Amino acid sequence: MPPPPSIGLVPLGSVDQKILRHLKTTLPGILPVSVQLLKARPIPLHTYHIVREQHNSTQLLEYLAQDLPPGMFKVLGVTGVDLYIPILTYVFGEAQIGGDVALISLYRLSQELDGRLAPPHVFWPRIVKSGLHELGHTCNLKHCRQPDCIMQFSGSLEKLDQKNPHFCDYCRIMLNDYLEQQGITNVSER
Amino acid sequence: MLIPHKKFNLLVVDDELIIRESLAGWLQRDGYQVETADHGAQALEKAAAKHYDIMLVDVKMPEMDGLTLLKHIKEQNPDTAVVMMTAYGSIEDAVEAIKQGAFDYLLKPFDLEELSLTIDRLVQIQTLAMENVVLKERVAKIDRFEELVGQSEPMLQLYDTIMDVAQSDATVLITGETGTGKELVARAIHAQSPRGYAPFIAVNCGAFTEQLLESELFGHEKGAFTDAKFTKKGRLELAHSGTLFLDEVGDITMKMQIDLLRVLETHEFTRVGGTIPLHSDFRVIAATHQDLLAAIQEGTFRRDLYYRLNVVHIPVPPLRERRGDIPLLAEHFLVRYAAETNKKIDSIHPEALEAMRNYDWPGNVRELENAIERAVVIGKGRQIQLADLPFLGPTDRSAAVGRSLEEMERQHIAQVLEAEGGNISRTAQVLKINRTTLYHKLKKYGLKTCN
Repeated sequence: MPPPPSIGLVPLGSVDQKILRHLKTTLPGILPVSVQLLKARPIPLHTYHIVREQHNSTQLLEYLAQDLPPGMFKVLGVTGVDLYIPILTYVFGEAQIGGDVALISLYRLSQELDGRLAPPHVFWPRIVKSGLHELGHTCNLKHCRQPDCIMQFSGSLEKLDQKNPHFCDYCRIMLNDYLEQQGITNVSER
Repeated sequence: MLIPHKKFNLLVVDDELIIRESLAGWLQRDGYQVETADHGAQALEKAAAKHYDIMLVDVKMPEMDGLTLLKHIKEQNPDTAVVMMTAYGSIEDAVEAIKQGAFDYLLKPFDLEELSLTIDRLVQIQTLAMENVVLKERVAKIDRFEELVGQSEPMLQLYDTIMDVAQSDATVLITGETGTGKELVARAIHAQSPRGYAPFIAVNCGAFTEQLLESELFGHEKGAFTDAKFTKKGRLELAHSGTLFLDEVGDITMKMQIDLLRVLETHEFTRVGGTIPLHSDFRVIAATHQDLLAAIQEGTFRRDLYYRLNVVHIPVPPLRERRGDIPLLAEHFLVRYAAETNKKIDSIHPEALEAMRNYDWPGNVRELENAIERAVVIGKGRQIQLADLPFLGPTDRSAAVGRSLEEMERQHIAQVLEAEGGNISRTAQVLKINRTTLYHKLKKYGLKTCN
């Protein structure tokens, strides 16, 4: 049986190792992948918007995609800075649909609804769910309208907290189709 | 949670590339089909070639601003919902846009939830509107299908043919005398076909002048001719995914026959005054009371168009060939008109029924319907009497024997004229002659109309 495909975890800027290790151990329990911690990369200055005091998520994704580590099925960037895309006030993360790279920001995920720091039992599921959601996009999955699916759009922390870290039946089938198209066989959700 | 029944098409119109890209990318992730335009003219061009369910339009754009574009879209594609996008400084414009028919406005940059909610709400409204149209059409169809009444052998054969033909996409030519119910047959085919949930668009080709028919069928661009104040979709466009019913197709001019033939071959056309080719997927059912083969011989109907239309031929029998259905039809119309006029008439005297059965009904089912309607209106008791059907009274066929042809014609015209309440158009229709000929004959025989 071939080894599961690898997801490369790339910290962008300074990211707490505990968070990265949590993702490394949790993601393979949900997706048929192994996770490798890769070397941290600095955040390029040109992605910073001085007026918005945020980083352009699309530009950061392009930066990640420019220098892909070899042998990785997908790359998930993790950053502590706040992200935006030009038309939206902020985003929790972004991914290239059907592409190689995805990105999540810990900035808003680490906050409670009232602005205080979120406790670990709230914060850690959020990073796993955000990571799964964005990785789902890299596997060609769009936003899903099935309740309780990880690919459902969540525009607020409240909605993100309500979701479970699972793909619905439809998304799992489409995910498997995608993986098979990529030559990754004998996969099923664990 | 809303699950749209179809893929929604969105158009993002903004002069800033970065906004177009980021918004389109985000909406694609939501599963929408998104295209972009960088200025108003391009947006209008795209909207003329393709239907967009939702447009997101920037208020501030060079050359054509968002408000002007909104005005054009509302004229050109009134079904498209428009959401204006604006910066903080131009809220007044956004409010003005709402007054002019925009669905909503969003302040740039948008909040994640706000964008999602606005689009979801729009999709929900658009989906409900579509469902409403489909349901209305279905209710109307049920009514109409019920009007195809008859249990005689020719009608049972007709029902079988309808069911067989409905499953294919073949073009159908329905022929039959005036008043036999050709449109009802067409509607029944449509209702039973896989296109049954899509629109049934009927065009009475005989009712329009050449220019009007051209505009009705192909639509027109604003300013294409003097009265073209707005861009109008043609019935070919409206029939997309449904059925186009061309009634009285034998009445169209040679020029229109050429245009029509081209459209039937390619399903592509341009609006009058327009240049953008449009495509529409429709099934064609045509009908005529004319003898098209004779018209071909006379050179008034194109042979190639005839073959294009006459893939499947359905002749609808005249009422005199299915006399057994007369009581059933009479009862059907009696129930309807008694209910409409709120009169307690619930039966037909056997003598009246017998007279109806013996009458030839040159105007077919329509004539019978008119006769029952009239009898219900003038009837005094609970039962329709022979006296309520005066045109049937003097059907003294034996008395007519030996009379001259002219005398018989005079009597027949007088009977139909009376049955139609003195209405010249309806009388001419029943007699299958034009109004001018009817006037000549009325003058010749000294007959008077009520008007």
